[in-house]
Amino acid sequence: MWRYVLKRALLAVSIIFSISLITFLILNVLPGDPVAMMLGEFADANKIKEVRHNMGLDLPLWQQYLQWITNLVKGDFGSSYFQKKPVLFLILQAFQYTSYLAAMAYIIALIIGLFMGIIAAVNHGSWLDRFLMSISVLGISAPSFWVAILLQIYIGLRFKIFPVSGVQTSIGYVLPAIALGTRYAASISRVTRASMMEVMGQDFIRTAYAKGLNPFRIVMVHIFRNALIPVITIIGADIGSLLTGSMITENVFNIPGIGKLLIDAINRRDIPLVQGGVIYVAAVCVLIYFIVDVLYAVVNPNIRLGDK
Amino acid sequence: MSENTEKNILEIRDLNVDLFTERGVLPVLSHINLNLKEGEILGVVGESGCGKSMLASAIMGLVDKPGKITGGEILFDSEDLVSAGKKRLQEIRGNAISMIFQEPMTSLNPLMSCGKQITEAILAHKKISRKEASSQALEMIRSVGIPMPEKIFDAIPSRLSGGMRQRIMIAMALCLKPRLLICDEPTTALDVTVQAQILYLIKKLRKEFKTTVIFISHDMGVISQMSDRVAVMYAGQVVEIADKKDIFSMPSHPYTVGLEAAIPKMDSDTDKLESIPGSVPMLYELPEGCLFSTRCSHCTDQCKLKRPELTILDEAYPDHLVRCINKDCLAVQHSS
Repeated sequence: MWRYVLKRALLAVSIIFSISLITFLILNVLPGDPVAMMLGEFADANKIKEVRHNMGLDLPLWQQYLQWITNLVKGDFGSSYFQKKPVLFLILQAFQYTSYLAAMAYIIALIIGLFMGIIAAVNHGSWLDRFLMSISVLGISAPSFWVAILLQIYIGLRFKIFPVSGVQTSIGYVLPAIALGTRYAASISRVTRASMMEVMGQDFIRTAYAKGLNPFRIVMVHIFRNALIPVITIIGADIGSLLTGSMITENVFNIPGIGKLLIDAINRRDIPLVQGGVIYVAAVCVLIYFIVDVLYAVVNPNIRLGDK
Repeated sequence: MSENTEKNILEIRDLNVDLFTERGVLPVLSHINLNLKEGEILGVVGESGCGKSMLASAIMGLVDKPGKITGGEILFDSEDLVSAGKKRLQEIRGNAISMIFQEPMTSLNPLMSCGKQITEAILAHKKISRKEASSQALEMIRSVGIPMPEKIFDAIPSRLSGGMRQRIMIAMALCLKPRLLICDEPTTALDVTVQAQILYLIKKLRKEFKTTVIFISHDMGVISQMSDRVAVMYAGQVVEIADKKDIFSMPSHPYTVGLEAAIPKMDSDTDKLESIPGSVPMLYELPEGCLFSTRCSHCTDQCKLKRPELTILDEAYPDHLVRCINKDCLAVQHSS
């Protein structure tokens, strides 16, 4: 088991390094000079040169990368060109909002999605199954900003319990969490249903019935647990994408999360912030997939045995 | 056969199972009549698709969509299983009647340790503590001849060979000392040496536990080793049923004769393998008359008109029933 975990961890670190290199190169090849943007349209050429020199932007690219990556390892992500604050600080600040929203949205999504998926699978072919799956198609197809706006109009404005904008209090997260969670709930329910149906057709489920187990136990212990691997995979992918910020929902509800931070940074060519942001996104994704890999091994002993 | 042959533990009366499909209602099992005496081993033999496994499912109460039991009775200890409620069937399954399946590789839950899977079966039917159930399960693993039972108890099935997994299945099926054990091709997926061990084990344990057995196989050799009586099935019907020695010494239905001719013999000179021409008719294109008429070399015009009944062939052998009207061909078989 530990061997397996160590292998996955090494893989994770090397992926982050490769991504840092690729991001660095791409951002430096892209058109648009941050210094010119900082100093405005009518800046003097000498002044631009001076600022570039001060920021180390006139050094050879490989030196810049080396510098950046050494600082990165030390925990120094550089400073935002525009907000004049350390990148790490800005990201962590935004992360608080994003992670809180993500956690709420995903807990809602998991409860509803798993429940719907299990019920649909157990009653597959019935009207209930068809009804639940139609709802889930609706949930997947509905764009989150549309759901967000509907929630604002029909719940936020009508009942005046949940604020439609801002997250000064935690109750402000409710509507955004529902808007954001809808799609995930829908996709979890579909994957859960499909995966459970596949397991239901297998021989060992017949064995479980032949043993005279009660049907609830068969569903939860035999079918659901075996159906969990594909579900964990999408849960990992979903949490990864949630933690890297949802630009639209955060914008609609005016939440200063990662999504909003990065969109603003990209628009202003705030290279240190964009680079830091990309590294953050990469790190989150890699970390989540690392956890998912370890979870696979926990759920399915065959995986860690196969790794020997 | 044992002495107390009077009591029937299982009586199947005129059982019909139909498949409800887009091609219409297809009879998988039609007019099955079988009696099973306490303590005997009934062999059920037939080609793939003849309804052997469906018969097992029907007895277990596990006929699932699109299949449905559309008529008849399955009397287990005089209790009708066809009309029994779900809860009652659940009580019986794995407890009074249990089953061993064909595919040991896929019939065990891949994520659960072998010991746990047996413990779970015990706990489903007995009100005892988990610890007691575990120790009973361990004892059961020991009794099916698995080396290092403590170690295997905690192993997940993928660590075990096919033969070992089938032993676990046997342990699971017998852990509650069922009165009836259904073995659905238990050795088909195993190689021959392991097959012999497993067959030996089933025979030994069923004697120990005084279990009545229905042994399903397509292999006449295995059937002859295992059974006291043999039922030959064809296209969802029992075409011949008799004591083992009668089935092998004087097979009477042309299909049984064909099956036996198809067993390769060591002492014959020919290199040719005998076979029955054609294949089992599809359920949606069953012939009007005798189901075997399309492949039978003794088929007459009479045979194509009406489905024959299962009847006693010779008053001297009241337990030998055959579903064939062609007395001529039967007579030929008897004299040969």
